Amino acid sequence: MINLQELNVYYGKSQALHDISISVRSGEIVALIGANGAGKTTVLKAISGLIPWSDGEITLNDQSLRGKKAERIAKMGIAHVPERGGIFGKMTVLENLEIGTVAGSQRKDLEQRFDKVFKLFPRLKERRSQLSSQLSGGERQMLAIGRAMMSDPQLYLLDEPTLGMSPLMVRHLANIVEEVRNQGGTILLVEQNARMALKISQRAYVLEIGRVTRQGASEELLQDEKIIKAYLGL
Amino acid sequence: MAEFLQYTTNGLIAGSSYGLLALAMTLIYGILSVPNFALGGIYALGAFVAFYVVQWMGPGYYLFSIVPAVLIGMIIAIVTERLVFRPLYDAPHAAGFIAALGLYSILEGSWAILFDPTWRKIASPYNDIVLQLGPICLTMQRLIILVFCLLFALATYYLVYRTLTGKKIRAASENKSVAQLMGISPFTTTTMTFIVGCVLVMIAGVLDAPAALVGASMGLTPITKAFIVVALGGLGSVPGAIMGGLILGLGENYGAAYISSMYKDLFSYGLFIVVLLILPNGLYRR
Repeated sequence: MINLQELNVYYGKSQALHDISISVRSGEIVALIGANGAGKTTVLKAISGLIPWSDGEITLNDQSLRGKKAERIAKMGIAHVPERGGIFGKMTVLENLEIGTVAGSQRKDLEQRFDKVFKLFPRLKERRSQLSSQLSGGERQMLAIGRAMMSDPQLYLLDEPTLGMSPLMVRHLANIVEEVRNQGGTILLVEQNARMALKISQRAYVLEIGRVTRQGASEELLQDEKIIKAYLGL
Repeated sequence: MAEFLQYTTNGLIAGSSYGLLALAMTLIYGILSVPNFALGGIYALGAFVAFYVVQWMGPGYYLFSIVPAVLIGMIIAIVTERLVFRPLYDAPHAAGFIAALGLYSILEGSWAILFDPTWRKIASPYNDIVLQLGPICLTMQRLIILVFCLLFALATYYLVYRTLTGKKIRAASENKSVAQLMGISPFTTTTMTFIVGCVLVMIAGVLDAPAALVGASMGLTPITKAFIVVALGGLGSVPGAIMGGLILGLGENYGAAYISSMYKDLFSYGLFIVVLLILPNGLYRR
């Protein structure tokens, strides 16, 4: 599915990512965990074309993403849900969902797509005509994921979907992410809530100051003492 | 009462024209965050198109001049967006603002050289038809201005709020990066917005031409008032531009009628200051 090979990213003269190699296979949830400023969001932005990169390589199904604009990458099947959702607050819930179809190949079955999202997020159906700025934080995140689903993407890039949420809401969102995967989605999940991320993912990478320092099966990382001390708060 | 109705009609006619110009300006402001004063030069070009169509083909073809005005508006939108504004997308907004003022000066100077700097009058056949609608008296030309401005404003409202193209424009206006993540090209949406804006301004130029004198600098005052309307209605707000236009038109006309026509512009700018003191974000927050 997606492969990052020895990727280096710079912000001006400062290097944000150092030789990052990450892969996500079809049907997997892969977690990317790390402290604030470790470079997790930068990895997602590099994949989706929001920041330029020149060293290394990123491929989606063996097709290079080098030099491609963000809108082109979105149309290749990568749905990036940015931190805090990035919903359009001045548009209604339904309009936000409709905008989600732009990256998809066809818009014929719009109503079916709405229904698919509303089945997963019944709350959005109740609020379909409301301005998105009137939604709660959790509802905005649901809308952001629902909007990504509208284009039927090959790969979801989820950037801290549980940021600032109550434990109850975190559990609910974790279930939703698993459900998206059960419906055939492939997910690269960036999270500061390492416990949740490791519980629902199959594999994980640990990022520290722009470098991958650990990787492996999530179950094993959950038992790793260093990970427990550093990220699970025990 | 009859006088009041007459002033109200006059105000609505002036306001609908301001509203159409403000609609163009607010759409482009939404996407560039820059008030594009160069639209004043494009407005004058619309009036010149009407002038030459009437001169070459006859007064009966006055309304037909909307067709070439729309086509020329599309071309000028693409050219000015590509050559003047696109290179400045990543520059501070002040650069875009200065570029807009510079472009206005270039357009005004060009029209003066190309079309002769004197002021001219258009012989629209609708200027001589006087309608008496109850207590209200107005020329057919002014009725055409009112009806066409409102029709084009409604069409723009439909485009922006009901079509996917309009939703893309609104999404890119709100957050360009996230819009890109949705597969929306910021360049395409910006070009589309410029086309809609320039076409509206060209149409406003055609409609206003017979009710004013046509000249290279005729766009400066209307576009300045359009900017007031945009600020009144809320920067970037489509309903705000339409409502703001009508409020300014009515305010100016009531002020001129009941206080003094000498201070017509004072009422526009005074109203602008009063509304912004009470509602700093305008009537409709974007």
